[in-house]
Amino acid sequence: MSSLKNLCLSTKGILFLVVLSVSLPLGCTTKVQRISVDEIKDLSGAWNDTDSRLVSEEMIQDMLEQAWLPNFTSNRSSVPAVIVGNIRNLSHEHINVNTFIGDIERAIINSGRVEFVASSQERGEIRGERKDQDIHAREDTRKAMGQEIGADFMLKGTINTIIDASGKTQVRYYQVDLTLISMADNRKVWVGQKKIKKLVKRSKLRS
Amino acid sequence: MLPSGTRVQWAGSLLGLLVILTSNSCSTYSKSFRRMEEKLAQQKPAQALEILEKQSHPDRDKLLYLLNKAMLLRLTNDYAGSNAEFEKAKNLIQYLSAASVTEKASSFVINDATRSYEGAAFEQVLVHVYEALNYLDMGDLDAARVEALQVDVRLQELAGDDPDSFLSVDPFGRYLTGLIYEELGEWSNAMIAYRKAYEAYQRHGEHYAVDIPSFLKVDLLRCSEKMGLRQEHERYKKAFEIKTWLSPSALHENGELVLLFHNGLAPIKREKVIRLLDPSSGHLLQVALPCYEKRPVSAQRACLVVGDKRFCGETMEDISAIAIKGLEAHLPAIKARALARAAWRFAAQQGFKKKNARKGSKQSGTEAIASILFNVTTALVERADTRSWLTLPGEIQMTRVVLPPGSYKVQIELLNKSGEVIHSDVFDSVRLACRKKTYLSYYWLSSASILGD
Repeated sequence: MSSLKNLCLSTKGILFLVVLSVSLPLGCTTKVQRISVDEIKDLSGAWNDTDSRLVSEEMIQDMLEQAWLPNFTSNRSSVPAVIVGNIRNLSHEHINVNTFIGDIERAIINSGRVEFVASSQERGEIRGERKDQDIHAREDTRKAMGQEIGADFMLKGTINTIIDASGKTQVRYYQVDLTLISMADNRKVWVGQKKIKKLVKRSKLRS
Repeated sequence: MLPSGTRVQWAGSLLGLLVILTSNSCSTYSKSFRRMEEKLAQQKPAQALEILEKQSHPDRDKLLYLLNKAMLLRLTNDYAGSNAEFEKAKNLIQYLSAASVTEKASSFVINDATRSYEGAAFEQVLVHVYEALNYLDMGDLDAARVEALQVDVRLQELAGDDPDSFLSVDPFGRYLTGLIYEELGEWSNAMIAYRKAYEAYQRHGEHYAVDIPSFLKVDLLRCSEKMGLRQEHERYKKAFEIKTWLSPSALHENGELVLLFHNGLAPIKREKVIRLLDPSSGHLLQVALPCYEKRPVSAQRACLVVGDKRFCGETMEDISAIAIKGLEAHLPAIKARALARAAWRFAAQQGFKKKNARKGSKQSGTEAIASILFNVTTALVERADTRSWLTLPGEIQMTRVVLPPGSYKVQIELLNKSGEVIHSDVFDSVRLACRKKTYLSYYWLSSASILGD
């Protein structure tokens, strides 16, 4: 009687088939590693937190260094109040514009060189709270209506992309345009532009 | 050396293991869907979703799970949840576009269904289409525009992979992007999208019966006129024989109701076992191949009734025909793989027989079992890949009605082949705004579409 080793090719084939079938559903365990929020990690090549932070910081720094700011402060002897309006995502990706707006707001407020007023949505909530204070809050702690600061400028913008792809390689070109518009007369007092270009090579093989 | 009893025991265990391993493939993917279809036919998508989530889904079918879940969430009006699943599906499609040596080997040895399902070309485009529709239903036109751009990138990739295939163009995908751009006032982009949709309908028309929708004809006339493309405009006028259309300014003074009727279910893949001649050995070998079975539909046409006027829809995407023709196009490659598998198994079987014949003795117990095992395994594992995105509708029809801004009571009527109304539904308050398109999606699946096993 032959031993197991002497079994024919077909049996080996079956063994191979079994090993293959068994190995297919095996997965990997999830690993989590905490990293610094400033650490640059490009995984997919898509717009990420680093892009959002760097673009907002650089553009706002540029905005605050231009002539419109000293012109305004010398004429009015006060710092301008800025509001962030609509920043449209016209790119190929579902970019979370809210985090980008958040980064812009942070960069503007932290500069201390302009005042920043709440957006229309936030204003609605605060006005509701003031109305509530009128009824329920102690008189000496009540905040009066009609004391809001009107914005002098509105910051609007777009995020655009151009994608050039060939096979597994893509060139992703991002262009962020921000415009600061005077609320009084619709003058564009500053136009900023920031470009990012990424070369993304996708793997041809996977596990 | 193992005692003979142990060997027989081992071989028996192996047989058992193989039966367990292959039992999943015995029940084809399409059969496992029956209960969900029944719930959909009863207009209970939430219950269909519950069934889907209770079922086990191997990693190789993860994309199908995500696509079906996304579609069922859409049917329950959870558009944001649906898009979250579509996004996961898109990432997975991108990951699966890279080749896997292990999966290629397993598909050669076992069958095509052991590979991860990466979606047919038309299914990959429809991911973007349905995600865009979700955003339109949520009123987020800019996000729908993102999907429009992604449709373009995806179709460019498909054209790069196979420029001659009609599947690398998608008529409705292009048309929907045109509607999105036009509503955003991007006339140039809209013109390009409509033009590409027109070309796509013509290319698809070479493979199955499809008419150029009258809506597209009018859009081409309006956009080419607006863009000042005189020669192209005259060409369309001559080709379409349409004399009047609404100007952009007339359109802007009104609102527009866009009804998308998602009719029935996409065709179901079945398995057919045939014998093919192996040119290298001259033997007839048995292989299992997938084939589509179209599902009957009870509703032929959806019409919108507003006031005393009825506006009937036109087919924009015949998903059934695209799926069937797409599979036909891929069948030679599927056959070649199946034949190579069968030839490999046949050679192995012959080698086994010859070895025993040379010995000139009776087979040992282990060898006999191994021989039976091999034959059983061959029969069990030779299965066709019958996976497809089964919650897709069989076709998408569209009706567009231009009306002054306001709130309307609209009725949707479904007509059968004879033009009789078989079902109607009333929407009491559909709001239309100036320069805006209001999208209304309506799904209809009757028990007539559910096929037996």
